[in-house]
Amino acid sequence: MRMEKPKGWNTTVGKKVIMGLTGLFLVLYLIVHLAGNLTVFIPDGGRTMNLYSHTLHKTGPLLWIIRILLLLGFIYHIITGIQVTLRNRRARSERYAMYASKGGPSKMSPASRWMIITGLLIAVFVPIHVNMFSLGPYYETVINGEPMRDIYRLVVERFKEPEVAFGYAAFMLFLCAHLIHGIWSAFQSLGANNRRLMPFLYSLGTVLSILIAGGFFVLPIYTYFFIPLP
Amino acid sequence: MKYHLRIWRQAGPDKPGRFEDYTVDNIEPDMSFLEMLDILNEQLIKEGKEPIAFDSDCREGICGMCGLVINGMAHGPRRLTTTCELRMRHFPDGATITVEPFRAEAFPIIKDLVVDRSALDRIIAAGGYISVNTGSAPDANAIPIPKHIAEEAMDAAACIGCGACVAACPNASAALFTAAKISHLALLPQGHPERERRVQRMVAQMDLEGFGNCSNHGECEAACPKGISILNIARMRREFLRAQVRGPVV
Ligand code: HEM
Ligand code: SF4
Ligand code: FES
Repeated sequence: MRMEKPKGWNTTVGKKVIMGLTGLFLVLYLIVHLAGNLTVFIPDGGRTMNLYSHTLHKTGPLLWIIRILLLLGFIYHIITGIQVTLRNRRARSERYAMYASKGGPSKMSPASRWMIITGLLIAVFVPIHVNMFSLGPYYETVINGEPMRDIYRLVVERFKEPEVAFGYAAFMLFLCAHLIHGIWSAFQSLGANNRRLMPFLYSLGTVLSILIAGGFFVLPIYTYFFIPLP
Repeated sequence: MKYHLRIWRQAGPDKPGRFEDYTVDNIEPDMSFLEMLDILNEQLIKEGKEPIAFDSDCREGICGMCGLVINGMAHGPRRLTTTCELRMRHFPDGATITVEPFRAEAFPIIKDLVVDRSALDRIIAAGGYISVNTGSAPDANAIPIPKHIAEEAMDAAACIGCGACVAACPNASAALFTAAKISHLALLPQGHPERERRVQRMVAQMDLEGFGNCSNHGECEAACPKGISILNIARMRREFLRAQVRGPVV
């Protein structure tokens, strides 16, 4: 396989830096997003959630800047992820008849092997998700004399449909798998790893993945069973 | 002891390959894997058949010439062991053993189990050196280097260039090899003047050869007979980022 001489960000090392940066940016967003969503658990008929959402939308241009950055980061992550995976396939065209791990220090797992699969499943999930909520029906409510979008009602309404609640939760398992390898791997890709950091980063990755994906997983299920329709 | 072997046979680089079955008997437990193959080859020669081509040189784990994928593992099932150091006692009597060459686009098969690993040499030639004439050996401690740095550099320099990291990597990436070579120079003062150029050139050459990306699976470290750590790959990426910020773009 002859290729053109790659430079800078187009090298294999450069591309993984891009994967790591865009990946960690998306993880940061997920944490903020989850924090907002957890307001569903506050039993005040959606007051806090709607106020939070309203406050976010009042930031106007700032919100749009973040949305555009997110979209670009997401697309860049996907394109680079696909490029990386295709190159990896090409690098060994004749497969082994037998392939096994020696274990030991290896970090290989189904999560690390299926990054492209779990990634593409997330790519399928996100547009459906945005279309269902952000672009979904506009209910209105009045809080403190101010009219605003009743996003809480939309969320609870949707999660009362079993296929939505359980389908959503199922996708969060794929997210969890993606992050279990992704988070520590991103630090390693950015060179931000050494002998002392390694065990910490690996545990941090696992704990954060379970907290993030777990939060998004519990949300629809809890809503389905325990939150009354407003 | 007796073994059934499934061995990859391929007459030449562009010839089709296939597995063939062989049986060897009267194998001593303390024989190395390569000695077992020597016995099989003597048997084949006596039968008037073509012996199996495989690489080896020192047969004591220091040269990096040997390398087979045994039961799906580069250098076989033992950690920190080259194929030449692997003993037959690690395989139960009567076992069936599958033997394949190191597989990667960048390691074309020459014959049977012999692959061309000169891609690794070209990565070194691209920048894995210090381009000053050092003359005769300097006095020890003429350049003070902290003990832990010297140890770290020495650990990286332990790489024997066998290519097992590439063979074991699901992506056939040469990141561990290249990182080891970049690390042992980047850690020492002698390596500093050319560090930016070195990492850029070696990474570019590694890519040109058609190796895959590093997905941080860590299979390379598990397969490496010298236990080279993937933390060297993190160091290579730091060297790369440093070069991107301030170095010459080659
Ligand atoms: C919420 C969305 C997502 C988050 C938070 C996320 C996060 C991450 C992180 C942190 C990494 C590790 C980067 C590294 O090893 O340097 C990663 C790797 C990866 N991501 Fe994502 N990702 C997301 C969506 C996607 C999507 C939609 C795809 C679709 C192609 C994808 C494909 C990949 C692939 C293929 C890798 C592994 C690259 C490799 O082999 O090293 N990800 N992701
Ligand atoms: S890093 Fe280890 S496995 Fe790779 S070439 Fe060097 S000694 Fe062999
Ligand atoms: S023959 Fe030299 S390391 Fe195995």
